[in-house]
Amino acid sequence: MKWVTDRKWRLYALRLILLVLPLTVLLYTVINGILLLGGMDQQFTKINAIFLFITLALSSLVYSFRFRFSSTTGLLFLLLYVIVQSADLFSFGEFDGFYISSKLLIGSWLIAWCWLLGFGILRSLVILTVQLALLLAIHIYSLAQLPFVDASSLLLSATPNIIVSFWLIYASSYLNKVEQGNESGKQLLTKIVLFLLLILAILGVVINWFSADIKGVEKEWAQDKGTGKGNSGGGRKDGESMTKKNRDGGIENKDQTKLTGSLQRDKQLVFVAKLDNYFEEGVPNPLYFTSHYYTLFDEQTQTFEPDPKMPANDLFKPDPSQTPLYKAITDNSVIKKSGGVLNRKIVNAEIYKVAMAASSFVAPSTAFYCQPVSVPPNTNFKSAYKAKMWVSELNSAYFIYNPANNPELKAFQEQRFDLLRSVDKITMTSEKEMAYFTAMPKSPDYDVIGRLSDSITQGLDKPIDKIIAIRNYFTSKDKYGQPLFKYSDNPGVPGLPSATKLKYFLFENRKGYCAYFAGATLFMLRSLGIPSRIAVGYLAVDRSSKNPGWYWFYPDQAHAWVQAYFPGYGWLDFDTTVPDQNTQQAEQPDGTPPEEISQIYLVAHGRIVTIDTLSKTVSFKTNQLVYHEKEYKAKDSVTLQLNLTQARILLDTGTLAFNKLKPGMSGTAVSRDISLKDTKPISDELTGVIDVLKQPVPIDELKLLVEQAKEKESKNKGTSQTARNWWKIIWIIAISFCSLIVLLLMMPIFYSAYLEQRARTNEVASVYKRYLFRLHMFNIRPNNESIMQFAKSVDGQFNTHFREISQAYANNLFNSSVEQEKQESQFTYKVFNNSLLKSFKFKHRLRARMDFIRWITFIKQLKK
Amino acid sequence: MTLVKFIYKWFVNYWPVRFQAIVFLTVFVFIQQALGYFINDDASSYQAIATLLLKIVYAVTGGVLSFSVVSLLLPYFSNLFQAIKKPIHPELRPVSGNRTAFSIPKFLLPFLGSISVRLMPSEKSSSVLTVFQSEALIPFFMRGVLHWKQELVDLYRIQAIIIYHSDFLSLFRLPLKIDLQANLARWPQVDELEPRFVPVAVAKSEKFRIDELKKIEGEYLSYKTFEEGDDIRRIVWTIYARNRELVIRQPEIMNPYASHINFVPLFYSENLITAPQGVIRYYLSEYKQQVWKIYLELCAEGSEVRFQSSLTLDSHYGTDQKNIRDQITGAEWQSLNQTTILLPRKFPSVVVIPAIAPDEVVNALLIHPEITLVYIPMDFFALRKRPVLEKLFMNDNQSIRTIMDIWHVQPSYHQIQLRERQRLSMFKAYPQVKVLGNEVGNG
Repeated sequence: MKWVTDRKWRLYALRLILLVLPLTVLLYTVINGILLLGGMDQQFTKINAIFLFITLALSSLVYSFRFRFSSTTGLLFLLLYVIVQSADLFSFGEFDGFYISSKLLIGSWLIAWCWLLGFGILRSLVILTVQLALLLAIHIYSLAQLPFVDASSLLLSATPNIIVSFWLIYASSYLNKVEQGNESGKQLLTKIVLFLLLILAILGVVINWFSADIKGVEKEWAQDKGTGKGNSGGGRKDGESMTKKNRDGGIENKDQTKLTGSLQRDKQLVFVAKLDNYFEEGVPNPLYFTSHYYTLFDEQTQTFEPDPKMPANDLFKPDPSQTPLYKAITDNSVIKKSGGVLNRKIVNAEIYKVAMAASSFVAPSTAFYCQPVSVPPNTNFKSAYKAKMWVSELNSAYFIYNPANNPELKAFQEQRFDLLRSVDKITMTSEKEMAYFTAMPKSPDYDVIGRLSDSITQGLDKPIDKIIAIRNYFTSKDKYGQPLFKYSDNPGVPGLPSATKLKYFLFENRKGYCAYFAGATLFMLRSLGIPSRIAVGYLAVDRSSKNPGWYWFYPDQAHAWVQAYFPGYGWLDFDTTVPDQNTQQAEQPDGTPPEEISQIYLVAHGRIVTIDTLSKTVSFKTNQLVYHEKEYKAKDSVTLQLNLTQARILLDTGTLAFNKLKPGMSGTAVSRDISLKDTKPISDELTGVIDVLKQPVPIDELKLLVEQAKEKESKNKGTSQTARNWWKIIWIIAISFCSLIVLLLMMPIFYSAYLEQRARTNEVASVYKRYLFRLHMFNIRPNNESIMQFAKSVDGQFNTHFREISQAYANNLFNSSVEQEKQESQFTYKVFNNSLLKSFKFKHRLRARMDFIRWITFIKQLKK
Repeated sequence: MTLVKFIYKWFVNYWPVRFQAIVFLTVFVFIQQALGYFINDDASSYQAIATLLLKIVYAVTGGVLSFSVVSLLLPYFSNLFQAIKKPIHPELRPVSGNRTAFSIPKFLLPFLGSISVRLMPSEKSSSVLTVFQSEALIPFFMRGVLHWKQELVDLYRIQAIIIYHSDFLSLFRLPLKIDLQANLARWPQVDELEPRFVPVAVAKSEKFRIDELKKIEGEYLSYKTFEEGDDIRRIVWTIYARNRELVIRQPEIMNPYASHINFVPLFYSENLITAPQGVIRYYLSEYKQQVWKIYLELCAEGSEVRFQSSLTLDSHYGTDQKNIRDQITGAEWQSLNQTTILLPRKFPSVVVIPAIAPDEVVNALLIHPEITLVYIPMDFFALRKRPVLEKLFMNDNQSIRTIMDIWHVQPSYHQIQLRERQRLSMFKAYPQVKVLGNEVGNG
């Protein structure tokens, strides 16, 4: 291919193939993606794509010539506008008219877009880049929203577009350069192939890099489908939620709460709890369940955050998923740190998780004990634990609920207030603590809140009265008799950028959800010098008349409230959030509580050693046993044979099939088998128990520890990976060895290409060298002959015209006259080579190409 | 002002980041922000996949970008190192047409990228940028042809070249300045010759050469003081030795000049011209083009054409075509106060006068009826005025046309037109004046 005449047309044809075609395909996929996302039943057909192609081709044709952009594009847009407008004038019937005009409108938008793209290809790389980036972003957005696709097929549809985008930028700028330069078709092709290879290589490396993440996402989707949730299309949420979903699908209270425009809630059972807390008459006494305390407020992001460095940190935060079954974790220090001694008692609770994350721990404050327990079979509970709390009697939910206008509740709550009126002044154990819990952001915006609380609590001395006044302020009514504050999940965002959200909530909008009320209360209390913090967790509602003491928790019960410190009484809960007036809470169905778990006889902590898949037994190494509620420990672990035919194998996230068990996994085996009921151990030693047991022991439940199981898994993978690595290394060595040989064989070819390149300079020496090399490779070399003698003998032998170049070289060597250079172009290497090749058989010709030893000797001779 | 000019020039010549790169980054950041806005943190699988896809796009983009930068930096620094170690001598050689062969020994090209060259002429303010593609992928010796896109006929003395290394996405260009002495010229080009200006005096003459005449023994009746353009061989050195006066002998021959024609293109211009510099330069270029064409036409007539020029001090009756072409190409406008009016003393002569020549020159020439005057009107180029529709819808590849388009509506244009009309009507009384007409349109 040579760019001689009608170069412009050839270039245009190249542009059509290299740029317009891929761009059309890109547009086609992106538009189809958008249509699919929009839920339109129409498809962007291939015929439509041909229209796109034609528009792009036309545009690039027009701008191949020196047409002005502004005037031509302006004219086109005007034309399109007129067409769209005039479509309304001709009535085709109301519906048809609308249909056709809307189609025309979309069509003309597309044409305009394609026109701009066509211009970008030809003239403006900037416009092209911007549009391609836009296309890619739209494509990613629409792809990510598509339901029911697996991650790898998604990648398959996304990656071509990435390649095409880069390709278009490269090829467009390259072809524009070609227009001015003088490239041959061969070079063009090489560059194209090289660029594509480069992009593919980079893409390959990147995808390999992210393969773990891709698999992770796929797994997540599979899980979502498994639990019936699916990846709901368009499941994007605008608002903030009080809970968050973990990667494994578990629900957890958030580590931080942003004050945002709206709140989103789900209707999915999070957990079920049994609380051993009753009034004297046996009436259940609900408690708020706490997850975190927020003590810090980030002014910049308007976010409440927990502070791990909080003084006297009384938050008990074990990870039940990392604790072996029936192993108790206790932290008695929190009891002291809670600062409460008056009206306190120990309360027991059992928490059964459904959607709640395996690792999270919620309990009424102040919890100090956690023991994971097994969950009853054939329920959808994932895991469970028992908890013990140092609970203040004054923290009964009935004391905390915002009474609003419920006189009964109001009267009941007076008991607590009367008690707390004995506190005249609040002090904490140290000044530092006091300063920490009464800290306010230093900004005029928060001073306003201080002034408001001052005005509300005017004339009141006792801290508790001040708190009540603040709570009453939120439930008070305005001059029209309407509630001053309203509950809203969607309070909207302040219009003024400078206004803080709390200020906006308190003085203008007066609508918000719990975080707003809690946040505002916190600052009002702190401005009055009352140490306070925000507690986040779940609001308990006693709805179960059938099962007293059982509570069901849904995501809409996720809540935030305020805790204030009273010396002697510790941290006491206050809820200032006004009841939701508009949306009456739908009655949440209470399920049946988990059955009473039958008596457990054996609990063994240990590790799986061997697995017998046939009889479904495993050998289990253990050094810690609980037998008939008595604990046995030993230094050396003993091996137990476990029969898992009846056993449920559990992970925090669900059950595990037997064949997924691997040696090295650790966990807890639980047996409720009646046969164990009457067997008594012979001695107090661990071996004493083992000896009595009839092995294999029938096991009802095997609970594996997730992280450790994973670790083991990855270790196992590691061993198999090392085996694979060996293969890899062998392969790499073999391939590199082969490629080295190939490279050596190719060396003469490369060198000859190099000589060809050098010869282009038309320096006689370089040209002569090229001829000489060719002859050398055919094993024809001068033996102490002069240049001309050698040439003569060669010409005689092969009927070549070697003499001419030799003559030129000799002349050049001895009298470097310039005129000799011109002669060189008269004889060509091609003719010489052809006549040389005629004299040799194929075998020799091949050898002349590949013999690298001859090549080395040639190089050696050159050096001499 | 000079500082601003300096900074501007620096940016034009050495700024390594292309506008394209800035747009690329801006778009990248913008898209990230936009998608980040849509992808909120509700931990759904949608977010997971969108983030993952975004990450992959980022990684691929980063990979391509870094590869592009590395493939640019390696050859650049290698070349820079080469240049520091040993001065590089690029070669610029004019080839046929207006092309220039360009080669640099031992020079690495950015992988998949390209190299462009900016020629830095010494005097003329405009520098020339040409894209240069090497012929091989990883060349050690670069060779190629620069496409010389200069519109104006002129001689350019190149003092330096800047070689830009450009990556394959055209995001960056790294400049490498190399000193270089070379002359490049945009020669006047003539497509076809059509003899039009047959000098008055030659019409009936016999053709014999002056060299033959030289041998005729004649009587030397008179002497004449030596003037520019006279044959040095005729200087009477004895008189010079006596009087320190340069005097030449004048042979008495009946029709001494019958065999050759004096060709005198004038480059005088008025200082008063208010037309924009661009227009004046463009007119100069076109004027050179026409002068060269007329010269070739005269040569084609068969008579010996002697070139007499006011351009250089050592002007002489040149017959070397190459030399004459050089002289015409490198010519500049001259103002009258620089030199005295050069008038041909020997006839027959063809004198070419530009439209912007001062009145005194024109009047001085008009009194000699033997001199054929060729007047090249400015209006001749006004033909290039483009129709409105074309102006509206077509870009122009010649920057001068844009200047012309603007100039056509300026008062100076009408001023010049008015004077030209007056001159043209005046010329009607003088048959020896030929006005280059519309029928001779040649670019």
